Amino acid sequence: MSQATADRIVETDVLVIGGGIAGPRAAIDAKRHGARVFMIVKGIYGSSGCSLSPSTANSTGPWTDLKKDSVDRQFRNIVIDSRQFMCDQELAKIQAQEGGERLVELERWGMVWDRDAQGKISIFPSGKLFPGMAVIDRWITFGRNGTHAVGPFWTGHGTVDILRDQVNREEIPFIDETIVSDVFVTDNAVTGALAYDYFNCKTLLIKCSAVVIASGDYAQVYYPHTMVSGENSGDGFALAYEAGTQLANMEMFEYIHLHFAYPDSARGKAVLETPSESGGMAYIRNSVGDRFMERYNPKAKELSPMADVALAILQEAKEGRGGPHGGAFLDFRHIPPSVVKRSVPGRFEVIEKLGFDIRKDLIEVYPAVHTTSGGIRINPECHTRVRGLFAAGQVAFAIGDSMVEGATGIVDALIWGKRAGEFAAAYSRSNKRLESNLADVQEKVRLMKVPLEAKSGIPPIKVMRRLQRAMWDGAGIVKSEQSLRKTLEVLEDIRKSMVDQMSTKTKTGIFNHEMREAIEVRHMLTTSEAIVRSSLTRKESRNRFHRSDYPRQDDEHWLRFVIAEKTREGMKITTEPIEFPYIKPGVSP
Amino acid sequence: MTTRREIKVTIIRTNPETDMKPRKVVYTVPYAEKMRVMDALNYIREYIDSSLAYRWSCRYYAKCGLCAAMLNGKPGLTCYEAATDGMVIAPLPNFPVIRDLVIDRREWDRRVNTQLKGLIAPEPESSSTK
Repeated sequence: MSQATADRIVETDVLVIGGGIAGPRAAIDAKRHGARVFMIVKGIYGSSGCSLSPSTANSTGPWTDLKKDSVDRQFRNIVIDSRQFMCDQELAKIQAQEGGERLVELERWGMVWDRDAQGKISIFPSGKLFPGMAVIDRWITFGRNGTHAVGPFWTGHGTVDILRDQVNREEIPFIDETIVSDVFVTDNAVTGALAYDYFNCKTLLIKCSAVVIASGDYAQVYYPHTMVSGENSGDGFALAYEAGTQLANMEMFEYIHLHFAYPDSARGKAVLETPSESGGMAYIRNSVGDRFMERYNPKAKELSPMADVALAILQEAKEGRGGPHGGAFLDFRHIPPSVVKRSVPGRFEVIEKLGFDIRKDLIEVYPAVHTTSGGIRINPECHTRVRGLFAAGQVAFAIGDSMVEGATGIVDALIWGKRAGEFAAAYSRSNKRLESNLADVQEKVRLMKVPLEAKSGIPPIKVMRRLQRAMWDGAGIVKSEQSLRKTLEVLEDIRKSMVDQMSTKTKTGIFNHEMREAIEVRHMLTTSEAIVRSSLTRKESRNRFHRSDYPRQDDEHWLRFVIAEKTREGMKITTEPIEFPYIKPGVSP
Repeated sequence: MTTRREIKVTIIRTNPETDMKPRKVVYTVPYAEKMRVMDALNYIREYIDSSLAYRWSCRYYAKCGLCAAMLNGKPGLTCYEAATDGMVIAPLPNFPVIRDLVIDRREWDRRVNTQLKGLIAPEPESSSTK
C-alpha cells in the first residue's frame, strides 16, 4: 500500500477500539493469547468514557450465600425478570456463570472490594433501596465507605485503574484522543481500520486481521438528556453496520427518572436514583404541589417502578402540571438535612453545589437516557457475522445493563471483553490478513478530510446539535409513528443537505476537536437511523420501550429481535423470533 | 439568585500556530438559572466560535477531571463550578498549553500509566475472597 494513504501506518494482529472496561480487558486477553495488540481510545485513556461511572458490580460469586442464591437463580433472574425473555439465553447463561470469576480475578489484580467488619465481601442492600428493581441482593462495591466528592461509590474508577495496571504490565501500545472512522472489509473479512488522531491531526491506518469494537453505548445522540459521557456517541454501532454486520434491538435503551432538569451540563446527573435513598422518602410533586404518584399507583406511590414514575412525570407535564423545564419536583423538606447528608454525602454535596437549599427549595427532576440494551449482534465468542469483527461491552448485544436488575455493566464488560480478546487472538492466529482495497482506503481518507479542507460551511457541532434535538423530540422516551417519521425526515435532511457541507473552523495542526465531531456526526447519523427505523418497526411497548400508539406489550407478535443491516438499497429492518433453549415463556419454573 | 439576562466571560485563548502569546477574549452569553462554566463554553462553541478548544467527558460527575481549568485564578472543574459575570477562564498552569483550554497531559498521563499500582496475587484462587 502506498505511503500516501495515511500519515502513519500501524501493523498489528488485533485492534481494540475503546478504552473503558471491555476494551482493555479484551486487549489484555488478546495479548496473553499471543497476539500483537493495538488499542485506540477516543478520549484520554483512564480519564474518559462511561466506565468510570458505574457504582456497583452485580454478580453471584464466592460471596454468595448458596442457601439464598445461585448461578442458576441469577440466570433465571436475567432471562425472566430483567430481560423478560428478550435476550439470547446462551449469552445469558455465560453472563450468570462467568461474572463471579471475572470479579475474583479483578481482586487478584489488586481491586479492593468493600468488606464488612468480619472481613467478608459485603453485599450492598440494593433490594431495600430499590424495591421492585433489584431482583436480589448481589451487588458488590468499591469505595463505598470512603469519603468522596461526588457519586456514591467508585467501582467503575477502581476497575478502570486495575485494568490499566494490567495493560501497562503487558506493555500494550495504545493511542488516545484518536477516533476510528472506518473499518475495512474484504470478502467479508476485516483487513484494517482508518482513524484520525485529533491531538496531532494525523490520519492513522491500522492493518490488522481482527477488530474488537468496545466503544460503549450511543446515548450521546440524546444529548443533553443523557447521563453518559461525551465519548458515547455510538461510533461502534455505525462501524459495525458499515462493515456489514447486524445490529439487534437498537430501539431498546434504559433511562432513569430523577435527574437534574437543569442546567444543561448537570442534566443527566441523578439527584437520587430512588426516592428512598435519601434516608427518608423524598416526595415527588408536580407544579401544583400534588404528590401525583398517589393517583398513578396509590400503593407504591413514589416507589413505583422507575418506568412508571418517568412516564407519570412526562404525563403530568403534558397535562400542564410540569415544572419550567418540563419536569417534576423532588421534595426533601420533611427530611432533616443532616439525615440526607449522612445517607448520601456525595449527592448532598452536588445538590448544595448547585445552590439548592433542601430545607426550602424543591429540585426539578426529569428523566434522562442511561444506557443501551441493543447493539452489535455477537455469538458466545463475541464474533459477528463479519469474519474478524468482534464486539464486547455495551456496544454489543449481549445481556447489557438493565435497570431492573441493576449494576450489570461492569460485569458485562469484563465477561465479554475477556472473551472477545481471547477469541480475536485465536482468530488472528489462524487467519491470514488480507490487504485492504487501496481505492477504498484512499476514498475514505479523502472523505474524512473534506470538512478540514472546505474553506467554509457548517460547523460539525451545529449539525450534531440538530440531530440530537430531533432524536430527543421524536425518538425519546415516549414515541409514536408520527414523531418517529418526523425525526427520520430530519435525519434524511441532515444527510442530504448538511453532512457534505460540514467545515471545521479549526484548521490548525494540533488538537482539532472539530474533526472528531465531524466523524462523530457521520456515525451518529447511521446509529440514529437504526434506532428510529427499529423503533418504527416494533409495534408494541415493553420494558423501557414506549410507543404511545401501541401502549401494550404484545408477546404473541413481538417476542422477537428487530435487526438492522446494510443492503445496497439502504438500511433493511427485519425481525427474528427469539429462541428459548432453556426457559420457555409461560411455563412456570 | 441573580436575575441577569446575560453574562460576560473572559477566556484566555491560545493558538500556538498563529499567536505569539495568549489572547484575552470576552464573550457575552445568555444566563440560564444555575448555569455552570461548561454551559457557557458549550454555548460559545455552538453559537459563537466552534473552534474554542476544551476537553470534557463525564459532565457534572466530577469523575474524569478532563474539564479542569483556572476559574478566576483558582483551579476547578468547569462542569462543577457556577458561571458568574465577569469571570476569567484560563488553562491550568504548570502544563504546556496545546490550544485554548487544552493542556498537554502527555507527560502526566505517561507517569500515571507507568506506575505499577496493584500487588498481583498468585494465579490459584485467592483465599481472600472467601
